[in-house]
Amino acid sequence: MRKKILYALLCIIAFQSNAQLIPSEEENIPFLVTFGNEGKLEYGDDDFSQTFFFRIPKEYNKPFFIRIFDPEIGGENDEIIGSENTKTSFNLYGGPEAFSHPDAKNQDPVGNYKSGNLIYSKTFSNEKNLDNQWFTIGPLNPSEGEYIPEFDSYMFKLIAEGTKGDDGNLYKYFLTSSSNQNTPIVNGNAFTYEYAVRLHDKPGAVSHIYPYIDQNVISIKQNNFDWDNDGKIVIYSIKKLAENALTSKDATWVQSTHKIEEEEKGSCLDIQLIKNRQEVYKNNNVVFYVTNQYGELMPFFSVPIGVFTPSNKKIKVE
Amino acid sequence: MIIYRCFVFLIFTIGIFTTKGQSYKFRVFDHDQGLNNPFINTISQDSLGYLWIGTGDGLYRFDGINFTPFTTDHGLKDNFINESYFLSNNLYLGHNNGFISCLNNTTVNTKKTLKVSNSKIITIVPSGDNLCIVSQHGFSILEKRGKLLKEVLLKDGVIINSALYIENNLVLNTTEGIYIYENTANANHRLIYQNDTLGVLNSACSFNEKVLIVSSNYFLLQLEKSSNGFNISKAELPFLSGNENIHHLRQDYQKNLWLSTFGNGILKLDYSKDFNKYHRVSNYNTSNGLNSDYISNTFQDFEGNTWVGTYGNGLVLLQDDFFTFYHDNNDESANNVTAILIEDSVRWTAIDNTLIKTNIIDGTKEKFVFETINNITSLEKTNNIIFTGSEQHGVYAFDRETKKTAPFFNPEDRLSNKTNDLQINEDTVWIATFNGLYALKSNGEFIIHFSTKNGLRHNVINAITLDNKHNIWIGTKSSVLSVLNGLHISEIKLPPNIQLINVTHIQQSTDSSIWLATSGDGIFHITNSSIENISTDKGLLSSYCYALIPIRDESVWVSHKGGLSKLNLTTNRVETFGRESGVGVDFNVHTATKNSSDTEIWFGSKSGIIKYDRTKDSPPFQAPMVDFYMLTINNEEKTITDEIKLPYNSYRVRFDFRGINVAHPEKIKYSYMLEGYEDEWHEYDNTGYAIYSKIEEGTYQFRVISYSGDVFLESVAPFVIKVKKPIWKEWWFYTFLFITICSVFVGIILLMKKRHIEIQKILEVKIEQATKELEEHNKHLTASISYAKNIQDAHFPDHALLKQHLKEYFIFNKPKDIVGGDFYWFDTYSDKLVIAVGDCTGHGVPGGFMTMLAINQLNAIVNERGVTKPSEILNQLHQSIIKSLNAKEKKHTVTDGMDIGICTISLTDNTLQFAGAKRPLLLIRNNNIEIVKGTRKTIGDTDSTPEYEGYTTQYNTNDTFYLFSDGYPDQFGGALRKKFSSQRMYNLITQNQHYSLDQQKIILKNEFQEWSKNFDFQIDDVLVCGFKLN
Repeated sequence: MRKKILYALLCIIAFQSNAQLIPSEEENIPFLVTFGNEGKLEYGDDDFSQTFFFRIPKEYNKPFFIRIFDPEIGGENDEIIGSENTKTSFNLYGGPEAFSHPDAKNQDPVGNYKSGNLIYSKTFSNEKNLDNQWFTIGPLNPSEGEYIPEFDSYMFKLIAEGTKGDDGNLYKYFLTSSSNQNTPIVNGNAFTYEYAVRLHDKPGAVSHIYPYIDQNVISIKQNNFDWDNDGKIVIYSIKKLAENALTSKDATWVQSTHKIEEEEKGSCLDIQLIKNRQEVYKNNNVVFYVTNQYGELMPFFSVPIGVFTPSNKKIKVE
Repeated sequence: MIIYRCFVFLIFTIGIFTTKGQSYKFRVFDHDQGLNNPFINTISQDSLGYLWIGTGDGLYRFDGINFTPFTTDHGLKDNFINESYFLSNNLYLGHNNGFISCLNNTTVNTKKTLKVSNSKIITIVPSGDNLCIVSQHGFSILEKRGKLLKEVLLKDGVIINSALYIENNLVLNTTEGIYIYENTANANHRLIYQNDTLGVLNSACSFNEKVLIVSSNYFLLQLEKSSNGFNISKAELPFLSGNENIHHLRQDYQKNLWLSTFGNGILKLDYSKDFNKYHRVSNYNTSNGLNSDYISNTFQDFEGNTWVGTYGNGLVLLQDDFFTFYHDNNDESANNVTAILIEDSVRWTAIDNTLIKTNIIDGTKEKFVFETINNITSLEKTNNIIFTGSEQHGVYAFDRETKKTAPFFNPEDRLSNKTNDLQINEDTVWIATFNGLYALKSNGEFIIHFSTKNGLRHNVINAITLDNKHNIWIGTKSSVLSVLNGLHISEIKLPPNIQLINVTHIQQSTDSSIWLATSGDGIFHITNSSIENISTDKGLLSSYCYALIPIRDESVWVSHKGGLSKLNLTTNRVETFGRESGVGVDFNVHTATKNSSDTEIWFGSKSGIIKYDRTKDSPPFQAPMVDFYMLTINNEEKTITDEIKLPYNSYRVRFDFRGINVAHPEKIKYSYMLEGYEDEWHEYDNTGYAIYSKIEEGTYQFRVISYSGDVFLESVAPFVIKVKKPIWKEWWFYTFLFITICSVFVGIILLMKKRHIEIQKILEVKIEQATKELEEHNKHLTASISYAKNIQDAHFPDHALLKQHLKEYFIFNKPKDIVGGDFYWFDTYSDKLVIAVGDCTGHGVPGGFMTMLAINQLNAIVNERGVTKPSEILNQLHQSIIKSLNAKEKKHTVTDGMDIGICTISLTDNTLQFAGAKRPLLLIRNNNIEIVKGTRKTIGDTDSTPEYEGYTTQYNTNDTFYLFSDGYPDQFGGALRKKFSSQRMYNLITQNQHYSLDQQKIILKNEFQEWSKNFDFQIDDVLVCGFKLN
């Protein structure tokens, strides 16, 4: 019982977080990562593409912005392989099918994954002035997104793609109402179906991913790529205490299935990515996604952590 | 007077600093005004003048006051309006979902929606007579009637960002580069500039016969058509750094380039015709009044106003950008500008006791505080010196080089220290004070003092000005204007109706005429030949005018408390600017000046400085168009169609209309006329409706003249009202009525005729029957009368008896009818013969009866009573008749009776006695006629008892006697239809005496027939008896 209460509190705190940094502070993931399309798989990026969805509630009709931290290649944060030869394009989509098209929610960038209307496009290479700086996309009109009635929100899709080179671009996002400050949008959030992240270099560091378990989920299948045996992946919930998940090796995918108990429905799992405590393993990039028993991708709500709660849905707290 | 010849260091420089006090006025339209979505994607204007605003959540129509929304509820395919384009009266809207909607702007109905693409519609551009709908993935050619003629898809992955149609070429700015479709009809295209690093090509516009394109990565590119096709190069534009983040480009009607940026507001590059280049840049952003730095587009309406579509902050009107406002937002007390002096690059302004020098180009300022004086009222300059007149402390001279000052004019009397105005003429400084006008040399040496003592009308000199002939015009509170020429003061009298004016400012225009501003009487224009007064009745904002500046003989600007007036010298009309234009401030007296090139006027107010820039002030392109949006007839709203037909009645008609001046709806005035109802236009006012309470039969066309600024436009309502005539006024009704009346008349006639014929037939039958009856009756009657005649004839004497006793005789008896009232009687008694001829009253049967009565009575009198004396016979006959007819008992006058002549012949003594009752006896003796008249009493006359006179004569055998009734002489006839007369009868008898009596009878008979043939009938019984005695 005490465990349940503590877990619920964790979820509530996470849901109410206003910080719309992606990856969030709570996830303790230092950066998102996307390699140039000439990079090797063993660098840790399976498809050189990362898609994020941003949700703007319908009642919000002011300009908003998406800021990218360190969008270029080079300088402090990025993983340079040889020379800085990489270009990364960030394309923002809205309008019909930007979110609702099935290909948009695939873990792989295949088919019409660039569905919707291209709203903004910018390609970065090695602009020194943007190193370790925020770059702002916008202002953006919420109604230019795709309206999803069940969310009562407008959805935008931001695809980061390595269009040239083999360097790894490490970056973050922030969904903000200000052009030059990170000011969260009330009730706005962001999520992805496949997380390509850079793990901490520090041994034993723990990162978290919080997939939401709805009432229809019976079991989940976690998939990870290029874990490189860097520590372990364990799952916590109100019914699970450090349930181990399989971890992948270099440039390979691995998956493990985990049963969902009735008590776990309506809450989120805490999938912890725990770095190897004994060895220092730097620059480890991992790709992660979770499916349910039907093979359907489950979203990782990064902002707020764990779950998107439409206004007409109640958070179930036990 | 004490003149200080030494400079005293009374001032010090506070510091040099830069401020951004310059601002513009903007009007924001957002949620509060009904524009519910703040993201303005498109702005367009229809032919009526309405602005159509496409937003991220609906389309809005703006009429200057209200925003009317149009959404999917009105038939649009999507609420996201990405692009709009007007073709005729159809507004084509491009949506985010690849659809277009077509809206008719007059009926405000969605006519059609069409799926054009799977991606959002980027733009809609004209393609010949058709439209080219460009989406992110390709383009389609849409026929005007709404049919898709062609669809062109670019290859996968290529995204179109913007497009432009130029000289039959469709320019597509794509993620892959720039494509040119040289002919959209056959879709031949080529990639002319391939560079996938261009980034997003945000916008393109025609630009001096080139196409200017904004690239997110490469700033500005220009596309130029050449003999080989198109060349593309980086565009070089002045004033731009390349970091402006331009989102939208537009070239306005004056060739100025408007750049909408995301982050830097609006950049406007002003184009100079003279130099054929951009000569100035204006930046409108949040630092100078604009409410957003994120601008999606700009738009110039028909009147030349610039509208700004912001991305997230609504719609903004850049109000009269020919006004620039200089205001210190941090210190309101530092805004009361009481004097201004403008040099080429420096502006001197006075606020309280502080003189501020501003570099116009870079905005740097220097402040100089005059500690010993209070308000500075006026500024003038020579090459090195700035003279400052003060409210109470005379005039000081400020050396602009040394930045030191010294008292210049500080007389002892208080009034002379109160300085209102300054003028400098060569080396002379003219000082207008409360104690007259002083003239000093620039070194301070006193020259002269003018006051009421030597010719001025008033000592308080409010304003002075120096004209181009070196005359000083002196404005005081007076009924005359003083002009100083050398030492001579002349006066200009104002019109007699102007009693007293209080001059506040005097200026000379380039045509040498003088303009006066007054406090309370408007402004005056003085030329060599006339003085004209212009005040509120001519449209001036107020009659209290604080300063005025004429500009190039084009206009005169006047400042008031609460705004400005602009008198257009060409049209003589006044346009006013107040709070709605941002100039609703309190201006200071004679605080206005202009620059040397006459392009700028600087006004000082209690709220800072307002600069008017003539080069930015263009007249409205056109007058407001009028939308006749509602028609109400008898309080019922009518659907507007071309022709509104109404049955005959008396109608109350209301026309609602509005002139569309989206920027300044308050400036519109209307005059209207209902053609067909009235012949004259109504007076101008701002009422947007007209009511006619009694519209009857006729054809009516409503017309409105809208007026705004200096332009007029007459608009005709797009409908005609036709009220039918009453049927009784229709031509066909008259025809019908005529035909009906004629038909009825004819019908009646025919009916009457028919009835007449029927009646006639009936009558004929009846007549025939009656005739038959009458004939039968007549036959019987005639037979009866004939028989009566026989009876009567039987009573007449036997002719044998007559022949026996008379020598010769004739009886000409011609009764009017079968039987008659005339009779003759003959008998003998003893030796006497009695012969009588009577004429009973009446004729026919009654006469017959009377004759029978008379004959019987005569028989009784003569034969039974033995009376033979004629007079006695008559007397007794009279009594007998009366008795027989019982006339007296009947107590009324009996007209029945007879006239009679009786002769008694005594054979023994050959005498003849005669007595007559109104009948004579004719005696022809020896061919002479003797007429023996009877007594003038009718037998049977009850009125009197007559005594009949007798006549006796000896006769001989040749004598012929005639007795007769009055039938013969009374018969009408002859040529003249006159009576035959007794005299004619006597003559006839006399003339024919030589004939025998039988022959005389024939003659009498013939004569009677001959006479009466011209008179259709016989009027009375005729009896003539002639006889001769033996």
